[in-house]
Amino acid sequence: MDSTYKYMLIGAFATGAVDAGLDAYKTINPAVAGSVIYTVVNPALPALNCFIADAGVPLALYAIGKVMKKRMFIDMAKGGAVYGVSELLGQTLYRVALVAQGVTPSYRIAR
Amino acid sequence: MKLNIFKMIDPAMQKMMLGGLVGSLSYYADLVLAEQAFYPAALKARLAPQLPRNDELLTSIAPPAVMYMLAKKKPKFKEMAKGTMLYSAPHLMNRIVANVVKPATTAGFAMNAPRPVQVFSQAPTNGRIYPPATPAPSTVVSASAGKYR
Repeated sequence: MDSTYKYMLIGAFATGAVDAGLDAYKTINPAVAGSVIYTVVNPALPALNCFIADAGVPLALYAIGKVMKKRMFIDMAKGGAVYGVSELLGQTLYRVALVAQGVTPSYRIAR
Repeated sequence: MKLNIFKMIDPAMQKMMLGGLVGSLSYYADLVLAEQAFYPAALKARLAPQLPRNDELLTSIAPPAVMYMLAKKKPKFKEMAKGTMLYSAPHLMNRIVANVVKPATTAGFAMNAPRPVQVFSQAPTNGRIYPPATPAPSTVVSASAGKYR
């Protein structure tokens, strides 16, 4: 495995870990469901915590890489972007499909 | 002026993005199908409560596996296979974490959940039940018999 791909995997896992952590925090502590970071602007769009994790983490990694001039962080940001963009797009399409059918999302995104 | 963001990124990254989208769309397309009535119940089952559903496991593992098999035959799929892995592996971790956390909270370990009232059938002391006003017997036993009377 080349080092670029290794750092991309690390970045993707970091983004996924933040995503999972925010979801898990809401599951453990249901009182935070009404707070700002878990706001659902539109039922056809992912909640704000998904945007924070899937777009915020790669952007933060990219900014760190640019400021510190480290190639490593840029590669991590790229890996995070592959995960984050795919997750956001997939989840948006999923929500749009369910909203269009008038089905309440019962399993994955009751959030 | 045309703004094409997809053309602003290098070709290898474009292929990785496409690979990630393949993984993501296969996962979420399966979830949309799972909401339908005709979806087989065997795919909605779980091997273990901590694991995601069988269909989720399948749609998380199969796309990178298929892409890597394709990449062995046609090297142009190599970057796409990497992209699929970049999406599917962290996503599977995400789902496992969600399934580990959820049973714990439903079992009553939620942080802000009201604590359940614990009802004891008897006082957890020595097995004997004393009325609340009665003091427990002293541990000092008066010498009433034996050598030190």
